[in-house]
Amino acid sequence: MNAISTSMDAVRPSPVLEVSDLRVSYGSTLRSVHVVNDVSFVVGRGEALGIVGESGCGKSQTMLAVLGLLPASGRISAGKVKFEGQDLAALSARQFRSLRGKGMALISQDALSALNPSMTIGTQMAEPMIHYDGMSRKAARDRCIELLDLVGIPGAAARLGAYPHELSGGMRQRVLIATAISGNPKVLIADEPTTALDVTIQAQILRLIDQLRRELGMALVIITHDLGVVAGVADQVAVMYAGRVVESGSTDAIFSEPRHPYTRALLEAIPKLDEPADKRLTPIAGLPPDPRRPPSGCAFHPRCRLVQPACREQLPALEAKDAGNGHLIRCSVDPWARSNMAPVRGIATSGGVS
Amino acid sequence: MLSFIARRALQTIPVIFGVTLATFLLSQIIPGDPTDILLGPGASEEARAQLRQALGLDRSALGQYLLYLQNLVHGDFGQSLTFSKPVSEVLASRMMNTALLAFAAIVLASVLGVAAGTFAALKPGSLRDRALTVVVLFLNSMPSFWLGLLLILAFGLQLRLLPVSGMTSGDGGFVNLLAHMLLPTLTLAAWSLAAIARMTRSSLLDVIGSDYVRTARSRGIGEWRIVFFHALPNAMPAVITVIGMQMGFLLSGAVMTETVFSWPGIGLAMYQAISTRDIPLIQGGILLLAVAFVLINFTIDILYAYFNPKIKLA
Repeated sequence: MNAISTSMDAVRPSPVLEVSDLRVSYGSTLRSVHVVNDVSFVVGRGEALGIVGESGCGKSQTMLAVLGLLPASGRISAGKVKFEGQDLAALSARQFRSLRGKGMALISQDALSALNPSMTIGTQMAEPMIHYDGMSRKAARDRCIELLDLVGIPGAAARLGAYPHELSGGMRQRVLIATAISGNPKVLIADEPTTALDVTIQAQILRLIDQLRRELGMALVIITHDLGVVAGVADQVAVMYAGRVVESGSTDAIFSEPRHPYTRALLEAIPKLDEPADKRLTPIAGLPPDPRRPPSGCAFHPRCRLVQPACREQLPALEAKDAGNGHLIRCSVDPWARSNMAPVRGIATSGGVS
Repeated sequence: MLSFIARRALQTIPVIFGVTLATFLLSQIIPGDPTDILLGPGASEEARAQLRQALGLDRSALGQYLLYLQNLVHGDFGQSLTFSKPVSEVLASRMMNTALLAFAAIVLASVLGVAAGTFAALKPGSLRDRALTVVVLFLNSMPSFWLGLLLILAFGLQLRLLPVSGMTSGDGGFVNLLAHMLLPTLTLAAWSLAAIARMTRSSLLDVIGSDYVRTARSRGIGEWRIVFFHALPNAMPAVITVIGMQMGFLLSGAVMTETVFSWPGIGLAMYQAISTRDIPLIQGGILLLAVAFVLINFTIDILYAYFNPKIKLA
């Protein structure tokens, strides 16, 4: 067991989404490629979890697996996903369908491609209300207007007849958020919700998501490559690398006491306000590994500055070490263990919410 | 939408002018004196001169073209040599027959093609998907005259189930017409059906893999609503383009099919006109088919805009 829940503090709310030892594979059973491995996390009611990692690290695949939306070639080959205590693998296709939208909803990255280009905003928004919830057209229309108001779209009634391409990027993302919350989901999954937007709009959208989460009491899973986004919104953070969680814990712990070399490297790659503007950022050399040819031992070892011979041989476990408070680290070297740790400098956030 | 239709309609005008110019040039580049054909070799020089004047052949090329246009506007396509009737009459009496056959074929090809493509796309890589690929390949590589002959052999001569020639026989009721239509329609539709099925399958697969279909799924929309209300409408523009192109091919395919089945349409008339060097009829037929082609494309453009609201802006 290596879930965040193992050493849960008393303050964490009851779980709504539990993922344990999840593995997602593609290809035939004989030559399968695992893009997600042993991923475990728990999201409590109303809590926000940030999943952070570079593109291709398996964070989106994890959430698609949770939603049951993996493409036909992918599958969950091990592990469990539980929603409100119910194992999702036991659900019929029909039950799973009605869970989507109402239990869990998705906001994806690029609102232009995530909205149907040939349907008006109103038609798309109202579709599940009319066809699955038995609302009248009038009631659905009123509800859509209410939702668009809620996400801060001015002149909501007039927007219902618009097509997605007729709105600005920020507006589209708001519409996408409105469609996602229309079923009052208990868990909102936001997959890079601000990546396609420019910086000022990013901050607005993040603030909106955060505010809606608090107002509607939703749990939030926010998937991002941007630690700044996580810093402002998430209570818990899981850092993923090459399909595995390499470090997880409370947002405070991850930012004040990052222990995995990868987390450290990610933090060093963020520009900081309190440093001279001409100071160069420290990029992480190399590329994430190809999941078809994963490196031996720790997947990060080819890029790690602190690599030891042992790292090439054995995959370290995700464990608490001496960090406490549910902070888990997957590193056999653990160079920043408390015994030999130096103080960490403050980290500036980009586009974060305070 | 209305201004879009108006703009597209205006754009067809130069195309139609181009077609008239091309058919006019056809009469200019054909060697030989038209009066030879019309009056026979033994005609007097006086009679020839008279006819030349009557036909406007004594004018300059530009003058002849303007006269040709003027005649076209008045519905005068010239005189058919083989049928000894005005070309417009020959074409008018046959246009409906060709239209009927082409319409039946495109409806059949579209309905079956879209259905088969959808059926295959829902389970890519499945047995039914692969079976469809084989059928499509077969229909695609089958020349229409050969398929027509095989159908005649099988259903007409061996099984003696269906008539193989003409439009009607005996007292000729509606059922009789349908029976006569069946084989030529199948022959004409086969190639288009395959092309439409293939495009539906690939276009639908694209759309089903798109973000917005995933979004719809993530909101709890059921699978059949996804296919019919989210995926198919967005896959349609590509399919409609192919259907439009197929309608053009059907018009030319009609020449072959109508000849094989002796279907009294424009295609058969064109075939006869070509074998007897009936230039005015060839000209009229080409003009008619070309204008039909332009009108089809015009209609396709409008349908395209209907399915893809972004196009209206362009």
